[in-house]
Amino acid sequence: MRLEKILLKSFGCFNRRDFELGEGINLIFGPNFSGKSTLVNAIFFTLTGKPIVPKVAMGALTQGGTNSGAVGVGFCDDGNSYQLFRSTQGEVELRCREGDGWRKIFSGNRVADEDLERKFDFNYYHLAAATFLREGEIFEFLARQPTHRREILYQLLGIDRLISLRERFIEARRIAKREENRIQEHRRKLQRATVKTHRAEIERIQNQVVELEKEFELLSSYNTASGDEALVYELTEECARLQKQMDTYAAERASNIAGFNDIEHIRRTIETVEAAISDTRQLEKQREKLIQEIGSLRNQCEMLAETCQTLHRLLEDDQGHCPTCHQPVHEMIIKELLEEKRTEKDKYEKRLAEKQNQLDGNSVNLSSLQKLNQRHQVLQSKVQALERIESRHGEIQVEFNTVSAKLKSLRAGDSTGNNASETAATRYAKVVERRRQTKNSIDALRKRLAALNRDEAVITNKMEELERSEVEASQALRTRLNLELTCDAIERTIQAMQRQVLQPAETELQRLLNKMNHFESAQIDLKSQHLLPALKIDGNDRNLMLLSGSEKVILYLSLKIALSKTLGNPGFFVFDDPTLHLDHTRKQLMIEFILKLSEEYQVIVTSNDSDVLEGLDGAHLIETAKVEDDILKQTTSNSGVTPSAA
Amino acid sequence: MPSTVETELVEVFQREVEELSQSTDKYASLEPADIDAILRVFHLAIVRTGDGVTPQKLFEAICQRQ
Repeated sequence: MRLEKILLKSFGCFNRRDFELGEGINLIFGPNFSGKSTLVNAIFFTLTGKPIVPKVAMGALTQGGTNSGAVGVGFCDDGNSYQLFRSTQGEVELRCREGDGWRKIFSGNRVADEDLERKFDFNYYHLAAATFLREGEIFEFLARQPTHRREILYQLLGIDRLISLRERFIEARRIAKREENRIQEHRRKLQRATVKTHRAEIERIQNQVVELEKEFELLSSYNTASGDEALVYELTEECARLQKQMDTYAAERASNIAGFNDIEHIRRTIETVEAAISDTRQLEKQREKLIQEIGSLRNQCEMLAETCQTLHRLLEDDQGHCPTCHQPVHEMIIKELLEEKRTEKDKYEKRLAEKQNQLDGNSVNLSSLQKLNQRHQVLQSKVQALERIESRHGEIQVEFNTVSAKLKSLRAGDSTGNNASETAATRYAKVVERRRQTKNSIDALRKRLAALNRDEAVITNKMEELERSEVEASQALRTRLNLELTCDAIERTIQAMQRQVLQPAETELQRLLNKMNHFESAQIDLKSQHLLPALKIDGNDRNLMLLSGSEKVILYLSLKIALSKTLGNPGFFVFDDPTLHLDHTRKQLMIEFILKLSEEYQVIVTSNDSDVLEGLDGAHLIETAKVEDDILKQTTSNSGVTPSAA
Repeated sequence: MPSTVETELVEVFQREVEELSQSTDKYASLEPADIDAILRVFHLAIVRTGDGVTPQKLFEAICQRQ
């Protein structure tokens, strides 16, 4: 890769400027405050998106008084020309030359940095450590804490990512371990559950069942071998059964008939109750009639009472005439009339009292009607039950008589007589009882067998699950081993990466220093102090802080070159004032160093030293003037910085 | 991460995995498919080293690739 052009707009001290770059050495020469470091910063910022000086805000990069600035770099890579623009607000645009024009490859925000990194290896840490030298960097680096240098080294080598990844793999390994333990625990449970198998017991019971079935068949054949004995036995059993039923009915009958002599007695009682109920219903009618009569008598009594009251008032008023019709009346007549009405009223009241007594007596009789009805129902149901029992009992009695007759005739026909027949029946009864017991035993054993088979099926399932679990355990073990191997390998990769980069860098640094006749007998160790060269000269440690300024510069610049050779270099170096603090002799040494470097790489150097200008005679010269002059000489070149980026 | 460093990391890692699997007894039971799974998952993880690559995902990726 070769840088061809720097384009600036409102960046640093520049309003709008383009600078062409040549192959080999480019010397940016000018006095202090002329923008030399700004150009170095512009290249770095364009390629990485970050200022070359750490912890500087983007806004500080713009020209004073402007909100945003933009820079661009033209470069050539693999025979193609590119222009990369970047604004201080984070917009990026990459163009590629096609014919006479430029084709936009992409534009956008900082996401594009990943594409740039992949396409051109523009990595902040690589460029900062191995390609650019900024002002004051050497002393900053020497003064840095070891942990800070280690961070830089880890970022350079990608070890920081490896460490982060290692932590995640370690956690993944823990997950695998937990999973493995879970599966092992499950397996142990399954193993415990499958230890006790019922196979032996199942086999034993199956044998028992076979034996009992044989015995049962034998007992069953006894039935067919002796038909009469079986018939006698069955008839005897039937007789017993019928007798039992008859006994049950007799008990039921006794229970129903309790308190009565027989069913006829109950029926007669029912008739009596029915008669009583009928009488009571007559009373009901009488009661209604009495209520009517009592009502009528009460009305008459009330009317007579009113009449008596009126007559009594006539007597008390003593006016000699009727207040209604004004006819003259005689006191004697009124008195007679009053007496007559009072007598009549007394008569009615007497009758009313009699009727009331009759009604009360009626009411008492009516309250027993409900009880009579209940009694009637109970008796009716008793009669019905007794009729049913009598009927069924009769049927069973007939059946019993028939069976008894048959049994009797069978026993009578037996030549050995009743006693022998009874013995055979008893024997047969024993056989039947034995058969029943055998059947019960077979049923119980089959039940037990079914339960054991169910348990055994569960155990078989668990055994299958155990087999699956063993496969899972094997897979879990493999997963854990895989993750352990990954963790171990990452750890070793971290070590290997450091060895792989630092050892060649140490060798290269040694070679460069020897070439410049510096620290000839020195042994350099970059690993022990994380990139900071540990010098051992003639077997003695040499403190870097005690080196002269020129020795520090030469050592540090050589370290940068050595790192770039190991890590890879984009094809150029940018050194901001590398001869600072060097005397004339050391300056010449540095100039020779740069000239040698330019045989292989494009080198951009800034300086305000006339010795350097003289020493690098023939280099592509870019002269910068002081800011005040430059602003006056602003060019109106509009070729570079894109509007969008600006 | 520059693609060159990424490539180098993957190469070094592969070398270390192969060396460890051959020289360490406890990894002797691992098969080529396991080594292949490890390398693939590591490559994926190093390319996509964002927060999305959780330990659980790494564990699952190793399980799946087996």
